[in-house]
Amino acid sequence: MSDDLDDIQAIFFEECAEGLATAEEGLSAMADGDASADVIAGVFRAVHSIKGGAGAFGHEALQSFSHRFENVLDEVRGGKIPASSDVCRTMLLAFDVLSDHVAAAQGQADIPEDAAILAELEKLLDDKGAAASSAAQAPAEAAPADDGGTDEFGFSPVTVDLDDLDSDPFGFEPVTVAIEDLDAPAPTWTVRFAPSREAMANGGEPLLVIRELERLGAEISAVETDTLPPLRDLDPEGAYFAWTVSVPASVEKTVIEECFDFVAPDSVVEIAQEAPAPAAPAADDGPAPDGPEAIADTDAPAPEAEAEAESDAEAAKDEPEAEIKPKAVEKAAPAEAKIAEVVQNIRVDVSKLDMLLNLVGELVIRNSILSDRLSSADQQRVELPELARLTREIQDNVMSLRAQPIRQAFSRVPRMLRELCVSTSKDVALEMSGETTEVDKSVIEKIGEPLTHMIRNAVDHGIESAEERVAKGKPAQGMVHLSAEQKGARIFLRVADDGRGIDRERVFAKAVEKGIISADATLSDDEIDNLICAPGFSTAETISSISGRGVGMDVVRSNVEALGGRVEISSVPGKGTTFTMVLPLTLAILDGMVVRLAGQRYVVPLANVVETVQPESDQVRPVANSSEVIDLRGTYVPVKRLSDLFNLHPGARDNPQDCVVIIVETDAGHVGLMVDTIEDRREVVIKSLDQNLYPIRGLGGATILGDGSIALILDIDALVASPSSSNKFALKGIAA
Amino acid sequence: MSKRILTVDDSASMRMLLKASLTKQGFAIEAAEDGEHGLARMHELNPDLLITDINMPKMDGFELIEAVRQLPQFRGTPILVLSTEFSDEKKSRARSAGATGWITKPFDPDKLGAAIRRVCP
Repeated sequence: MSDDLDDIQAIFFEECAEGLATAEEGLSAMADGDASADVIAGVFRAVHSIKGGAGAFGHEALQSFSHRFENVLDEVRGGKIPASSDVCRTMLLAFDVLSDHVAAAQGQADIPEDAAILAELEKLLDDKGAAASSAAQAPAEAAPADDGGTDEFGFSPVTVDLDDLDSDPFGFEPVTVAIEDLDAPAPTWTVRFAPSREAMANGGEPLLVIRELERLGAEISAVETDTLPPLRDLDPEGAYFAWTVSVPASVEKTVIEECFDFVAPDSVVEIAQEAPAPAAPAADDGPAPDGPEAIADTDAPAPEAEAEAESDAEAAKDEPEAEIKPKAVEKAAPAEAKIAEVVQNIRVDVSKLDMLLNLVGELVIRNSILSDRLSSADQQRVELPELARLTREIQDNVMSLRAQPIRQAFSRVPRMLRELCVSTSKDVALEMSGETTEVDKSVIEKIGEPLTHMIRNAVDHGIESAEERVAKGKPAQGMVHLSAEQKGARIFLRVADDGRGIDRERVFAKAVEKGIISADATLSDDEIDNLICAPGFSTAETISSISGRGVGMDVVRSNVEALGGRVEISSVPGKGTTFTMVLPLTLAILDGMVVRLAGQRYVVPLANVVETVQPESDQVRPVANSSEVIDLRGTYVPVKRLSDLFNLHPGARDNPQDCVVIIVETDAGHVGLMVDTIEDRREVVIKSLDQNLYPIRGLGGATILGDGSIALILDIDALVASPSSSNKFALKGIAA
Repeated sequence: MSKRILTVDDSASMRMLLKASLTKQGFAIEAAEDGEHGLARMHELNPDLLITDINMPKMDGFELIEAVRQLPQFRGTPILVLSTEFSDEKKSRARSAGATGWITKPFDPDKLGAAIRRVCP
């Protein structure tokens, strides 16, 4: 069981993460003024579930904190505490502590200090009015009553304390329990049980109580049947009898009480201890004396209760009975209709999805190998295109299984921003958009850290202090906009701030000082901005006036590039800076054009390809600086020879007329990429490159082609962008 | 034949915990993740006992109990509520909706088993 329990606990923590995300989203929405019932209920439920699981798995601190948080949420839900901005702020802070408690329960952190925030929560409850605050305090007091022993079902007794036992923690309403503790040693228990008339409604069965008492060694000493009405008045579903049983003295009182946990309200239960008086023949386990005598002194309330019950029952019987039936018929139909609508979810281990994805990848490869090897006549047969189509559909489906909204990666940001605001004493609002953009799970997992860096940069160094902002005529509150959007097979993740922008002079000076560029280099604004991502640019020494940090944007860049993505920076002095992470939608499959160069094959992502041109003579012309352009229906597009970029001379064709120019779309506009020939267009399964190939910019991965050979996949943007800017870093960097 | 129990809880870990601890005690456990799903599963399984959470999305425990009790075939089926809530107000609401008993989370597996035997002959 302990292994099972660990597994289940792991799932509980997953749920906690989901619950926290839901709660944060809801609380943020409330802070923004959307305090609709659904939103509040969602937050309440999330915290409530965390509390439930925390109790089950014995995380007392988490349970206790979430309990108190939930009390406040419950009052907000009930409209007793208004969802004002102050209240929302307190709840967001409480949420942060709750996250810490969850982390602590997972063993990832110490149990957080929560006294201050608990006091604030209590204050909310107090402020709402005296009556409500006492209700809220009762549970709070129950939590520390953790001495065990008395709690009925739980591992820790949030729910029950000693006093509660009398009022039956599980029953619905206190049943009448008369307990007489006598000093005499170990007398037999005498229990009288008169179920209320409707004890058999709601699936109740008084006889089961008697059976359970019998299992404890009880014997029935009397059954009162005089309440049984004449047959014509008898309600077949009514309970009429009352029992008196004697239970051995060795049975604990609480155990007897438990038997009555679920008896209907208004039932009479009397538990008394018989003094071993000389007159009592029932001191041992023998038959008890006649019932009526034995219970004579506790009998008084019973008839009253019965009478009430009876009249209630009578009143209830005639009408509701008649009413319920037609309702039942009406309701049955919608209930059946609902069956079809239920969406069922299955939780699947990600490793199984990965395995499936890999297998599908292999299937795609085998599929292309097969079609490569068949004659073209065979390829035309119906089965093959059908097989290819099915394979692609399977592939798409498997990919969609792994796709998740990027919201998950965004979920940590609001809290981080709140903390940054506190630590930097700045007031920064967060705006998010495109959270529903779906991205492969593997991508989501890996963008957390770069995202954190980018947000920190923005708040730490992008946004100015409130005074400085006001002096510049900006609103005192800074703004960070986090957005995600999908374009083709790429995800654009932007962190935009409205801060001071990058101070290019200082960046340039610093880059020279660090030996990254030479003092006489001429760089465009973009190139200067990109310097802050250059390896070795940011070091321990922080330049506070620019968006650079000790930890370094170069780490962000290398992380993103390892994912097959890139980082772009654009900045307007005085207006703000935008960092963009351009990431592949998936790390697994790519629609590509297979090209050949110097005997090697490469894959150009089809998303980049605009058109292909077989140049006429003179269509490709040299211009200054040993670059070339292609005349494309009157517009000139710069041409890069792939052979130059990869330094593949000799081997590649030299004469443009023998080559093919692929016009690709890049961030820098259209560029012609000159290769020897085009071979094919196909979907390829991306295999990641070995780590030591990462430094080669322009490579996005590798793939296995239909004939089993390997081809490198090009990252066009990086490839085209690199020579102008990054080669400068690289060359100078090596020299330094 | 072992008793068939339908457990309804929106938390997967709670469903698994219930299943693990009750299967060991000889009960056959099926699960649903919210009231709507629970109602559908009631039709499908016709269980001996329903154990339901209260706070759930779509259809909460109170609504589920009411809906189940409206169906003639389930008028006598015992229904236990298993919730972290414990206010008398909630308990009496559950009772008027048609619940047989109330158990407060967190639960002790043995005591839960005993409680089940208390309502499920």
